[in-house]
Amino acid sequence: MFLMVSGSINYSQQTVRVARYTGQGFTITLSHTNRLPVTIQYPYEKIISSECFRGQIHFEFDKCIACEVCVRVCPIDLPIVDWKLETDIQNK
Amino acid sequence: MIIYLTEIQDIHFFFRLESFKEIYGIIWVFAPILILILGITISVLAIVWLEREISAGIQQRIGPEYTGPFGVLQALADGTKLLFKENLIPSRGDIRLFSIGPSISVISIIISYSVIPFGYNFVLSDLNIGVFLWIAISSIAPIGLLMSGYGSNNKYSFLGGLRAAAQSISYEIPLTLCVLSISLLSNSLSTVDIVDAQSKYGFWGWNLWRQPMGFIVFLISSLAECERLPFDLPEAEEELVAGYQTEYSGIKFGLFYVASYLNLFISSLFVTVLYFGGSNISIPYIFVSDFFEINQTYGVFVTIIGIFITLAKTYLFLFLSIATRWTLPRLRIDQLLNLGWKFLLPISLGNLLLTTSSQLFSL
Repeated sequence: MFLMVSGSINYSQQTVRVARYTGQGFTITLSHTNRLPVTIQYPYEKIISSECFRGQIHFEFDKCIACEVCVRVCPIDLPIVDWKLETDIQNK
Repeated sequence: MIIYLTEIQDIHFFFRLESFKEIYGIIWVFAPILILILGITISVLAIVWLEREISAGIQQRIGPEYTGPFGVLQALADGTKLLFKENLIPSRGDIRLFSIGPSISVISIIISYSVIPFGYNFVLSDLNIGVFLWIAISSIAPIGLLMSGYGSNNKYSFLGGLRAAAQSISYEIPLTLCVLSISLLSNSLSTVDIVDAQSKYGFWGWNLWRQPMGFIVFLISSLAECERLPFDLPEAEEELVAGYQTEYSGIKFGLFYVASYLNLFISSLFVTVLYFGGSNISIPYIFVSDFFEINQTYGVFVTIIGIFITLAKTYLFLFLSIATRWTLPRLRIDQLLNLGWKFLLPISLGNLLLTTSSQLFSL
């Protein structure tokens, strides 16, 4: 008898706990509905990087032909391409 | 000669009158059915768009926006694309079952719409056992899913079909017991009578207040019937690819997609009809004079108001279903069956017993 009552109380507490967690989940979900979208629609919108922006420089030596396009489009305004013509290995 | 001519003319006249009356009768029989199917189709397109928009809002994305204003034609574009896809049939599967499955799912759900009262007595066919018809027909749809899973020659599809059948059988019983409680309160299984029984006291006459536990059990069970998250085990994208839909392409897949949204829409309509008063206006006391004047002048306007109110309540539950999809995780199959057999069934049975006791006391 005591075991049955205890089991019933535990079951009720578990049900209440599940209902409370479900309510919390819905609170988070519905509050997100109210926020603005984080999507940036490039090229209709562009990212405005800050003055102190420091990105990571990625350079692949084997693919580089020293065309200097990266110098023109770099948001950090950093890279300087230093090259000389290597006529014997067909590479800049 | 003159007598003969007049007799022949009379015979021709009556013949034309009879055939015209017959044609008119046939048109009058089919016109409401076509209007209802057109309305259902537009509603499914709206629900697809609504799901895209609500999920985008919850996940802080931008929903469909290029096809038409606000992307409302996205569902039409999707349907057209599915029409132009190739119709693949798996080798060594059962071709007949593979082809018939989606049709059975869609047809069995569309028949259920004939008993929905969209306005005051505005129903395609007021059957005495309308709610029972819906429950019986919603039991047919899993047969189509099981056929599809079996006929696909794919073990994952077959598992999806089996899960669909187990899930539907488990949650059909609590649903039926809740409906039985409603019919006890309303003294009828007709949907029109159930709506009329809720209109006695206005807002407080809804079965929502008289059956709160039944309402919650009905919501959960109907969500499981529609195979929506957290009850989408028959699809279970991380486990079974797409369940019984895995091998389908083109318009057959589109039929399953449409059947899913049709099922969701009709479940929301039945929650509205059974618990939220159907087409009754929720605040009748404030607008009673204006409403009375409107009722005096325009009869069609009252019907349009009823349809609008019914659909507004229905879309509240659609929003709840779509938000649930992006809120709760999926259950396991043992958790699913435990919830159905060990939790919802005892509660709905107790609810029925309470209803029976209160009815006996009130007699």
